[in-house]
Amino acid sequence: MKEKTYIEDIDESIYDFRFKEDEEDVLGRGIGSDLIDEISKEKGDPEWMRQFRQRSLEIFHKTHMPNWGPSIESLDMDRIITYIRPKARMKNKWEDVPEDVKQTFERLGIPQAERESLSGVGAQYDSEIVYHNLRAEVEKQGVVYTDLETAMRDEKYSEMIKKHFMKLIPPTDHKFAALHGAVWSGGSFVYVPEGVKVEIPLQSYFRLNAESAGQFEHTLIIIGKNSYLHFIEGCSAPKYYAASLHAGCVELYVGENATLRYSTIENWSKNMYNLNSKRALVEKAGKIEWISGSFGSHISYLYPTSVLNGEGSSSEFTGITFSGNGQDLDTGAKVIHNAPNTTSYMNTRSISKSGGVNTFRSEVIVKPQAKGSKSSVSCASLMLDSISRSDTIPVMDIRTKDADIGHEAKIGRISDEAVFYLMTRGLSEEEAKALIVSGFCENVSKELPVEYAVEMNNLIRMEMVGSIG
Amino acid sequence: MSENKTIRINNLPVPTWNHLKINDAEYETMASKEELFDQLKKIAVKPENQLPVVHDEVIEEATEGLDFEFTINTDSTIILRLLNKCEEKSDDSKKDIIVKINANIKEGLTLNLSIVNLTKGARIYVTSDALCNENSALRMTTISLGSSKAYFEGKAELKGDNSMFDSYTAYILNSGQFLDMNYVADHKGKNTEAEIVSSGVLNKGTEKVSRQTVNFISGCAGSKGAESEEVLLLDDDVISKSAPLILCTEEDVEGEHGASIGQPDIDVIFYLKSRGIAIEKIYEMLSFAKIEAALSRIDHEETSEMVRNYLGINN
Repeated sequence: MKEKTYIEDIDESIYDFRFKEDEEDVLGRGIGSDLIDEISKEKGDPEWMRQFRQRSLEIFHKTHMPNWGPSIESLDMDRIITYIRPKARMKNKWEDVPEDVKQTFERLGIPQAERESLSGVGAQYDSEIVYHNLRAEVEKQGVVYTDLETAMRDEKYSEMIKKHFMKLIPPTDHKFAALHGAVWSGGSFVYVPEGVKVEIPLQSYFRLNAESAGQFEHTLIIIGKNSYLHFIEGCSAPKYYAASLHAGCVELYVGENATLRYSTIENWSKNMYNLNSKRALVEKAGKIEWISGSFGSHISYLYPTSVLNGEGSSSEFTGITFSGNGQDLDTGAKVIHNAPNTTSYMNTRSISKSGGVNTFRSEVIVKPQAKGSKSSVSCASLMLDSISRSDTIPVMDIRTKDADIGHEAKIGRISDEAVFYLMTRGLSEEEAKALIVSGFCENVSKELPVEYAVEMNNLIRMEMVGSIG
Repeated sequence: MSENKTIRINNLPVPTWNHLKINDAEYETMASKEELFDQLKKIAVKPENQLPVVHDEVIEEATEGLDFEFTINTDSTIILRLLNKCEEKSDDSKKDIIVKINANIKEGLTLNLSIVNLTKGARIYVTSDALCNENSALRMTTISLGSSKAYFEGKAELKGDNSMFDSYTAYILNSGQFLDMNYVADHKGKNTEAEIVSSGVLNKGTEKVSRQTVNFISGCAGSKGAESEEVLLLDDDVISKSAPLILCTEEDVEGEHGASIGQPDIDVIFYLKSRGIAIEKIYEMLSFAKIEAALSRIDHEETSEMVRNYLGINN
């Protein structure tokens, strides 16, 4: 009888701690017109934003739940806390952040990462940003990195935000985009001026501490002509029995000949509904690079979208999804080729185990005007047992003859021959299988910042060794 | 009084984003799907030897559609040809024809099923369901050249161990034709195999939708499934939609998909042009080659002649 390697779920205990929030900080549960006005008042929104929230709420009520992905019937919107008052206003020094919040981020290693490898850090705790800082030399280059609310109140940026906010992902896009438009809070605003290359990454970290809560942060990044930015986002939450909701929104504007790399390591707890929306608009010769690692959440709907609007613009999507017991992760990417000579490349890996469900879903659309465009999609899935599920659902819609479209997908298990070969070279069966899984993920992990790649490889390798059952 | 209805056919086994309009096909009719199928003329086919059974369905005024029941007790070859009453003069553009096929392929046997669409403007809908028992095989070949709108569906339930589904579809679409395909292999038995291939050419103003699904169901250990698609796009105002799905709840399987969509390989074009062949002729050769590949699978001289005549190759 064949021996089975059992791979543990990713150990999330380092993320699984919490500090109790005060009930009076909770503004309300569910979603109603009065609550929206209260959030707007609490946050000091300009009038246009208050109206925008109300319009979004109307759209939310009119829009149906998606009928094509994992079931989200057990998500009770009436129980979700949509806004929690901040424990303190945003600080620019770690020392000034309230003790329990500071402890949370210290345990997650954020201040250390800031000291060692980042240009700037933003940290969101529940509904609001509690810390933002940017290195002085980067600030001198004219780079802006702050929370969205502060930027909206700054007359230098208020018009820019009004012009771009939820224009790429309008509230009519889907039900949870509408929800986001109504209750959004926190998130980051980044502006990189023309010609500025930010050599060291910026990072935002989102922490959802409260039980049965929602996090609805909005990230808006605008980078000018010939600029460069690497932005990293991380997210986690402690584990509860009640459902939590993340319905964030990321809008990225990539200027002419600019490059934006957007990396995400998502490690929400297993009670989280991660219904996040991300979209980039890329101008002439610009480039968007998505790096996406999805490890947490109970249910995920996550498909970063690239709209290649300028001639010669390009997108790359590199993703890995690891789905274990109780997880149904529906992830992938979308690309719309909207201009001539645009190129796109998707490369994904997924691993399913212990009853976990992985779905890779993609769309490549090549419009009639996108002559000379090229697209290549490659996805590979590894099944580690027969109680799990792995589905691949790609779609291509090509509307010009002058396009070159390639697609390949593979699904399978760890090859007995490869394990046998490695064992003849002196590795134990456990080590051999761990090495194969790490190798399977390698072309994705090599795209991650080194500290994240090491963490990801360690998570996978350490959980495999010593677990043959 | 009957009213126009829209029924949904060629459904993807697992839906995706609605805005892509690929989860199913809309089919305008005057009845429900069940009523449509009830109206079909029932035909039972039990081949008694390995000689090909050829059924020609000629599009006429009162075409009522066909409901075939194939019982396969011997290795069999069945060729279904959809034709015009009078090839040159007949206008069948307002005709519909529906063909429903059910096949039960007994243990150890092979059914070679070919469907050849040589109508002119008629709308056709061909749907087939096959049950493959242990060590049996369904080898299906479809050629679609005619019809204003053509819908093909082929489903194989690979229930028996070592059963096989091998489907090859070839098409050339011209002047506003629409082709919608949905092929599904459900792997249930151990060591089952499926290969679903679609290969075709889109010319001016045409649209093709291709759905291919390999579905590995828990218990089908040792099974393999492959899908592939090659589409040559020869004009700008064409639409090529594809959804190649791999669904999997079994660990010990191998599934793969490959697609290539676009213009002909530039090296091939360069070589053929260097031999003095005009570009129009090269496109024609590459198009006909796809149909010839299907004809070699059908291996029936009369059918090959008919198809070549339709394409004008023999002239």
